[in-house]
Amino acid sequence: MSDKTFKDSPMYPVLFMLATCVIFVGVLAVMFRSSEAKIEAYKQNAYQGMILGLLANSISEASGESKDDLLREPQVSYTNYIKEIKLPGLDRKVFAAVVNDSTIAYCFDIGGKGLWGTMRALAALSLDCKTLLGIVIYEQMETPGLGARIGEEWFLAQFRNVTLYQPDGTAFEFSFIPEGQKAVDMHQIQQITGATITSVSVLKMLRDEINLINTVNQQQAQ
Amino acid sequence: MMKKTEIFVNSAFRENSVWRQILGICSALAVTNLMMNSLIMGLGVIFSLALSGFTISLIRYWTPRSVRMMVQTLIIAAYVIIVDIFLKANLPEISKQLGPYVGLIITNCILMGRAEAFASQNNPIDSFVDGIGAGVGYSLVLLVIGFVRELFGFGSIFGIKVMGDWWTNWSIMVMAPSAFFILAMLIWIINVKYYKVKV
Repeated sequence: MSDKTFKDSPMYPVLFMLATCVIFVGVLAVMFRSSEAKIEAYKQNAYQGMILGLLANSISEASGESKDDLLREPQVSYTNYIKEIKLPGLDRKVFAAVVNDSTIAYCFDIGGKGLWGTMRALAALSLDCKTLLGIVIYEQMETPGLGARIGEEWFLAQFRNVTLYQPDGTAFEFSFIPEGQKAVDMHQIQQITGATITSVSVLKMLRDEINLINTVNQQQAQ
Repeated sequence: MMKKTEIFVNSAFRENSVWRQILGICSALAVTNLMMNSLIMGLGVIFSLALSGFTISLIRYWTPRSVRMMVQTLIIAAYVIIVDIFLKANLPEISKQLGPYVGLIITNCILMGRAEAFASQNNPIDSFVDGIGAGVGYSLVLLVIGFVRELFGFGSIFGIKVMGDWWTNWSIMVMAPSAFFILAMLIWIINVKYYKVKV
């Protein structure tokens, strides 16, 4: 008579692995499903909050409502003043700040390539798309502590209220402040130490996307 | 049979995974530029180590030898994903800051090391205590390196500015190579002072 038990059979490891997978994947699926709504709601609220934050100054000026009041109840302000619109020919999400039935500024969902993967940002532009009101980078895979610092306030603040075009229509080019010097104009940006490729990627993303937006805008005007 | 405190002290200090066994070095270099990142990473590792050790030990008599490492990886991955989901749902800001590093706990050698060396040969409670000990030892190293890097690299501790305007941040401290030097110095000091290794 053989001493072999089921544990010694070749099928046992396969069935054991299968059972372990089913149990753990099941636990994870339940946990993810129970948290999914919370995660999605947070993402949605954070996204809307970023759009409102970028357009808050313009809305505040046009509506007379203070910026603090607008940001105190972001969901209400978003519903009252921000509308998602479609710009024919532009394959990007576009949001318009609307005050008293007049559009006062736009916010575009833009994207580009970073060092480790794609990055996505929101860029607020004036009504004529000639002034960059501000940007927020909301999705990126850059190195924490280095490239990931493109999400920090001091870096993003450099892109606030920047004129993008000269009076003759030629675009201003962003550049980096040379080592040991200070910015001579608003188009010189302090890059992130140790993350040159990421800093360059942000500028490239802005240049490419803003050019695209303006090309589409001009086509629409014609 | 070892006492629980002895298991803890052993895995946290005497046989510390980082300074004694030189495991978990990659993440010790990557996330230690800020103390908050180091702390959250440490807590995630403690949770994953303790519970994966407990579970691996619980099923050790039924786990076939031929697939034991696959089972261990699966269990570790499951707990790490639980940490990731928890952070995303309840601490979204910290989850955002840590980015991909929470997921990378799966590849941390300490987890597989403790699963293979301890949990697969000891009872679940001892394995749980061993996991907490190894996690605390790892977190301690991360916090020490993080303290030096954040202080000199950003002039702050846990994001609170402690250096005045006179302070110039050391860029090298923000970059990963600085962690190499600090970790090497830490291992050197502990070896000489604690283990009395003759240089």
